[in-house]
Amino acid sequence: MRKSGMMRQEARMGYLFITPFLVMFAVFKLYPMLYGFIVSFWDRNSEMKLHNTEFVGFENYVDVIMNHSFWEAFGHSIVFSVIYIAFLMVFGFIIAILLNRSFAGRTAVRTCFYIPYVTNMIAIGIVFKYLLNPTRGPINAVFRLFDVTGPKWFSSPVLALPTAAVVAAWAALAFHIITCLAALQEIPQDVYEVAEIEGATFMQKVRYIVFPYLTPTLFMLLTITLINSFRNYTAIVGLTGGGPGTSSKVVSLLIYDDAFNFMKFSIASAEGVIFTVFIIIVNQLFTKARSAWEKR
Amino acid sequence: MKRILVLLLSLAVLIGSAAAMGEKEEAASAQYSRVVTTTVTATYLNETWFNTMNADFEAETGIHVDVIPVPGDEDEYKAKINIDLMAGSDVDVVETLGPKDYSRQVSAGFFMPLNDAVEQAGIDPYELYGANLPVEDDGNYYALPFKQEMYCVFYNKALFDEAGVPYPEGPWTWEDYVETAEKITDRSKGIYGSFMNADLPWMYMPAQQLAIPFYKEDGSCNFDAPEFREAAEWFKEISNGLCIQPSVGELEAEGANWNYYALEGYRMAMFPQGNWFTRLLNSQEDYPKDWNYGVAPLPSAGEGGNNNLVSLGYVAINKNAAHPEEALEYALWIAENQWKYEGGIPAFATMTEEQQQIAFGSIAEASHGQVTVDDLYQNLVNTGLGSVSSDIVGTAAAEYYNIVKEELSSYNMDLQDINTAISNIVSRVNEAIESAE
Repeated sequence: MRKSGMMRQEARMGYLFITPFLVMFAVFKLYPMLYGFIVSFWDRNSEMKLHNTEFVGFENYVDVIMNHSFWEAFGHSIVFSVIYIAFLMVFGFIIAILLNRSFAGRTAVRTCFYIPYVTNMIAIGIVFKYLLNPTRGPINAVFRLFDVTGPKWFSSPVLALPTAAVVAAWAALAFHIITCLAALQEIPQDVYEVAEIEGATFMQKVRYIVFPYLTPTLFMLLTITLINSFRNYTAIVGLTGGGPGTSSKVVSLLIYDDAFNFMKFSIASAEGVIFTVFIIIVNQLFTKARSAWEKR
Repeated sequence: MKRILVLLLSLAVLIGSAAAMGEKEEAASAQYSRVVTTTVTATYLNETWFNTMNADFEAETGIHVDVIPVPGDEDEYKAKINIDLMAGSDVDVVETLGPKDYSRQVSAGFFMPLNDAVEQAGIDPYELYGANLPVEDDGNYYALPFKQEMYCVFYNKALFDEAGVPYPEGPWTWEDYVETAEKITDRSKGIYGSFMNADLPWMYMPAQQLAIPFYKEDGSCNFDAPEFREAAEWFKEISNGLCIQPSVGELEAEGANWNYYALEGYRMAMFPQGNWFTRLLNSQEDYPKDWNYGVAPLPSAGEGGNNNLVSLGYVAINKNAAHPEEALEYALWIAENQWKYEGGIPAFATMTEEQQQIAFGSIAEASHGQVTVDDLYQNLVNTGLGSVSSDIVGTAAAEYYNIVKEELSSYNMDLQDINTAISNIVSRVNEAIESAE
């Protein structure tokens, strides 16, 4: 069946509206991605080889896989992601449930939770570095009140990465709260009323009403959080700079250093490709798990 | 057909907007008949000396200086300017601090050789700059040095007076330095006799003064030379063992850098730093302090180590410069004059009395009597010390620097022993060298 004139006009308008996006996407995303992929098979690994187009096959990939620093940064990225995701999913859910109830000043409290989300990560980094300063910071001052030496937070090789992950997650928490709140408000009121009549406790309502209703939203949030957790460059640069030593150096920082500080563009591209493949695999596994859950 | 037309129109709007933005910028420069472009970190635009210098250049030559600011700190600037040059930027003049970065930029082929142009301008750079002229293996020089930074020890007179310790004087050694610092250190009052950055070259400074090469003859990493190990162990001992200065762990916790003293105010007695530190010590507005400072020469590292660490700033011309003639005029002028405005030391082979007076006069004046021209000249230049580069210069130098800093930081924070640190440095640096070659 042929499309009517109106439909054709709508289609044309549709193309018109998506054209700027497509052009921008092609120029600023697709082309760099493809170019980066190609560069990963060349040898552009020093300032003397910036225009080298010699094909070296998988040599850069082998170098990356054999490099201890890459696996160390890879491990740090995983640790960061696990803490980041866990914090966001748990606290986003809990705080949304708490904010869903009526209490005085609810709007003000909701606004407060939203402020970090619209604040620059570097500014957050500066504030947290002050708050968590081991000798001058107010948080460790509380420890000193009890004659206890507080943790060294960002300067401890053990704590720096988890602390950075928690701060980054805190900054992103508002999105989770708002999304969960929106989903909570979609739950029909009569379901709660029935539960009340049946004498269900608060925890029973959460388990048997809220959680099943929110499952699709939580899966959606989990997917977004999983991807965002690997986009941690700004958080790490703003909070720890990858230190102390290399104890919080994640893959995104390693890629930046290799490319722009050491001019090893092919190595950095190979690292980027490997990490992207890893994220795609994790995402696929997660999607399968989600399908299995939904079919259950 | 219509669909294609819509697409083409959309593209035209996008390209038109981009072109219009470019035209606006070009229009601003078009009102000047001769223009030179240069790029600096954005903070330079707030520096009075920088703006005065460019205004004076414009008044003298009729060439307008179009400054392209790059946001971010020095490291971000380096990364951004390198990417820009790599992408074929036509900015005319580029300033680089330190031989390490200059050497990388030359290797990347960013700059044009200046030999012919400088000689045609009637200047003998070999006589003027002597060993400071960065002549490469191919016999060309791709930049002119416009300033040199020398190390010395700045000290807090109030803390010396309080401890009843005489002010330090050269010639002296690192043993004397440690002994002096121990007398002043009083941890119960939170006073340290010394402050050294948790960075390079402080973490191995005596080895660098001994001019121990960073590369072996075959081009591989030489950080397993015993002098580097001894210097690294010495640094850790005075920080963690003798506790005469904040340890690397403490400095990491504070996020401390070269201006840390400003936060700590009264508590640090001696700072081995370059002469750039005077800008901070004299800036009562940005770094207020209620004590006077003095200056002493850098301690010697013993026999064979009577050397000061020196770094140079270079001005180079982009090989794709849009205005090469104007760029040459600006570069020559900068090399001759920037130090006067910035309050630094020129990179000339020798300094006349008048030049000494200008170079140190502005610093002395800004110090409001804390130091004199003679104090500065005697303790920075006329020290009897030879000079060695404060940078690692050679293959994969930036990576070499980073690796050494990471491994020695871990060693200083007791995350690994010295053997592991040295072994990691050697293997990682050799890997980087191999990759670069």
